[in-house]
Amino acid sequence: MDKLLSLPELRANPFGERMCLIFSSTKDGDCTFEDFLDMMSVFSEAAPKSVKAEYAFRIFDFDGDDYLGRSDLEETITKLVSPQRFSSEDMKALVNRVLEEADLDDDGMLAFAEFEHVISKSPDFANSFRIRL
Amino acid sequence: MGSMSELRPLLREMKAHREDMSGDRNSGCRTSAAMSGSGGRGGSGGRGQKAGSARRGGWEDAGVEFYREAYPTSVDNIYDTRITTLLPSKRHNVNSLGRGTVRRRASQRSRRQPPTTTATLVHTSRRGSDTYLEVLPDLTQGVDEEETWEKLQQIRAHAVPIEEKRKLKQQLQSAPTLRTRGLAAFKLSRRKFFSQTKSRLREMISKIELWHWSLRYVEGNFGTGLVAFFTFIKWLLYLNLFTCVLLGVFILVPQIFLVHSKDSCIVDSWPNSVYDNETFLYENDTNCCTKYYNEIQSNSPKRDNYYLIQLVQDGVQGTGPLELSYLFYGYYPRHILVLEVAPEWKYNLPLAYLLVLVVTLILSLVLMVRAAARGLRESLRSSEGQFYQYCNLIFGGWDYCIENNKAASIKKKAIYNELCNHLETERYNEEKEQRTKKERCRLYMVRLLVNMVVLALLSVSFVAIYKSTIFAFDHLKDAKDSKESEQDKLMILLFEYLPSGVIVTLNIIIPYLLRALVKLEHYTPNSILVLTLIRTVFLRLASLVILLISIYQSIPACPDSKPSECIDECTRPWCWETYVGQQLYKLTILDLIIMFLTTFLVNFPLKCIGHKLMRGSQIGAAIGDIEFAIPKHVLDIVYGQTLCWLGMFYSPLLPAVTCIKLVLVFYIKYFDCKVNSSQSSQLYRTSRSNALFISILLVSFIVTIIPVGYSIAEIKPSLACGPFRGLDTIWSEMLAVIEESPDWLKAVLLFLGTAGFAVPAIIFLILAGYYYYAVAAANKHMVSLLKNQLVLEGHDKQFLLSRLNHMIKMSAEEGGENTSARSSRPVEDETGHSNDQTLEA
Repeated sequence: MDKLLSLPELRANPFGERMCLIFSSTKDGDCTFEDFLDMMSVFSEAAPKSVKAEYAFRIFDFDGDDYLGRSDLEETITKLVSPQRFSSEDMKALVNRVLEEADLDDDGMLAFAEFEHVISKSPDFANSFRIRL
Repeated sequence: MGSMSELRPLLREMKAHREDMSGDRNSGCRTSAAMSGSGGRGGSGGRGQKAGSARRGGWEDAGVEFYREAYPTSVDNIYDTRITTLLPSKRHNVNSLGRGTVRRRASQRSRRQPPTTTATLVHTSRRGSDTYLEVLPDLTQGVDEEETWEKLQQIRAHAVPIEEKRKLKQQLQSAPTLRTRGLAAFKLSRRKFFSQTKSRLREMISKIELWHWSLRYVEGNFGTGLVAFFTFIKWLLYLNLFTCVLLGVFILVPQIFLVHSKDSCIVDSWPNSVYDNETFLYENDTNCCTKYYNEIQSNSPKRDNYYLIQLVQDGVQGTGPLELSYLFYGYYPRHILVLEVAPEWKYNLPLAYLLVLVVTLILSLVLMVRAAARGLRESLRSSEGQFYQYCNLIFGGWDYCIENNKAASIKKKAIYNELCNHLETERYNEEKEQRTKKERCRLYMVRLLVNMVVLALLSVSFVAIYKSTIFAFDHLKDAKDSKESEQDKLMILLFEYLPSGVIVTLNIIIPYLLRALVKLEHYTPNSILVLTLIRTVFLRLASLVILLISIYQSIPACPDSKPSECIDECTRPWCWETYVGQQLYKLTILDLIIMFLTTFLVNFPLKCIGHKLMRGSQIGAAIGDIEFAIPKHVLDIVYGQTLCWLGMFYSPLLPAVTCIKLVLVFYIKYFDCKVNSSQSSQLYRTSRSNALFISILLVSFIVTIIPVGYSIAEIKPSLACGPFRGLDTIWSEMLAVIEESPDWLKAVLLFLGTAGFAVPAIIFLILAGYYYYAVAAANKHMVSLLKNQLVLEGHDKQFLLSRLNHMIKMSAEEGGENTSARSSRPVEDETGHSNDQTLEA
């Protein structure tokens, strides 16, 4: 996995480790060529939005329970802004706002359907979830 | 309903699976779910204190706890997560061709049943970290080639690793298929061919993309926000190339290759020529004027000293030999061109000139609206009443193209800042609610004051431009008449460039002032950006308009004494169209030179001084850190394009000049971005930026249409030059052609111009707009209703699941006490169906 993380495309990415884990067929972060091909094809421009949404969901789902719970969201935000940090009330406020916006059935977590709904409305996602070779 | 009998089969099943650890893997994801999710029953053991009431059994006895556990909002699942995997919605998530087909979407062209019932089913389950697949080929009906091919195309949309896709493809291809015959086969092969060609073409085009590596560099180091700016330049370049090609093919090429008869100027027949019937071919009075004008131009005294400087000056201003060239309107003749070898093939140049320009403008408008609509659709879709601010930022905020560690850390900081900003804005808004009346009053007064100051500034600048133009023009006339001494030559130069110089100075100073003023108004950062942009756009466009007005003032309609008087006492240029073309050409070149100078002679030294000489010090950082402010650069580009559109009618080669200019501008801005600028700390959102750029372009396009349209329709063309000399207005050429066309065409075209057509058309458009607005409002209402319903359903689900859990626990304890015979009922494995059966039994 370290070799992968030294590639220019993944080197500066805060979610680089998650990406390696998700796409690796042996689940330990090491990718064969086919896994790498998978990764690049999902991040290419021609990949349909549903595929990207699916893999984005898997990347953000840190504990692997098929839901984006509070801990997942907090972990995402922390990774996104490190080394800066939010105070715990700010973090709580942020997670609350995200859940307010996206959690349609009010169960405290984001299921895939809700996540996909938000992503389809997000104009920046399609442009930024992409690696150009 | 409410009895234990329904739950018994479920319980039995769960017990059976618990016992049957090495169960067959064929039973669908439920098995694996139950097995791998068996992290013990510790998760559900937390409700020990409820055990007492559970003993009593039945819904009625639950009493108070019933309500206490009704609406869980905390994360702790109070029901066993195994139960959730039994829900139909979860099952749907993980079966049948990936997640997308919950909506039961049929394939696009299928005339048969939707493929989900007959297609292969792929199950993936991700409980724990296992992924396994189960494929059930369906061979009940033969599938024909077309369906197979469509399914093959859809494989790409599955979110599974490549190996599984390969397996699926193999399977689909090895399944027996019916061959299609005849017309269907032909259509299928054509479809295949088209889709293959399209993808190959796309690949080829992406390889020869212009400036690919430069854009990649910017993307990797600065993020996609900046790339949007450079892509905008590229798009404009393509638009200008397209315009250029159109104009070249229809105006330039005929002019070069076809010939026309000579102008004859017979001085004696001047008084009679007014009644000449042949409106197109020979107009003696204007012919004489043309001849005279050409003579004056070619015989202008050549200033032989400083020949090179003269050349450069002429090149920049468009005077001298350039004046009577293809570059400007004045050179084009008012004749019907014919092919030398075949004189019957006629080409009406004046009509072509007019029509091609109008068509080009319309086509540019169509292309721009299409591009803007794409961006608008995205931003509308995201804000149909609600913009997912936080979600957009958190999920879509990270730019996966960034390759540079430094850029990444800056981007992280930018995201952090933006999130902090959002939180602060919210707190600020809350505070605002509680603002006292006095404070609100004060704020409004301040805002009003600032707006008035801004208006004053803008009007002062407009007046300054106007006055300077008139001043320069008057003095230029005087100076040109007495051009002897060197000092006069310098004065001439000064006066030529005075209006442009004033405009440029104002364009530099005023935005600074605007930015300082807007800080006093206490708006949110978004509003600040938009407001500053609007005001600066106003300034730039309006300065152009003022220039145009002042030019218009200097071509006064001289009292027409006699139509044959082209040599008259009015102090106006011989050929005012060429004069306008020259001014705009001059402005274009000047714009380019100033951009060049600013980048290389101002920004670059500042950066060198700041970063190299005074490294490490505060002042050095303050001087050397120049940010690449996108709005300012966008306005530069839009300004250049506006000049091009304004001047297109009077200088048909101006788009070509603009093309070359855009290429140079790209490299200048690229150098500015790469070498001079430090990373910007502001987050630029690509989507919004694109829509913003193109809408500014549209606004300036509309502003340029007005002067051009007015000049075509109202102003009398000059007598001495151009394809429209001798007519009353340029548009009368078109009218003359309409007059001579067949009757039915004439009737239709004339009808389009009357009020009888315009008024019903306007009414119809208003009604259509209102209809769409009503539909949109109804949809919005529907959406809010459905959202509320969804929340209620979610609460219902949680409530029911918690009760179910309760019940299971109760009965498990009961069942553990009486070891009654458990009939291990064989579980059915029709995937997707047994579940519902169990719950409804």
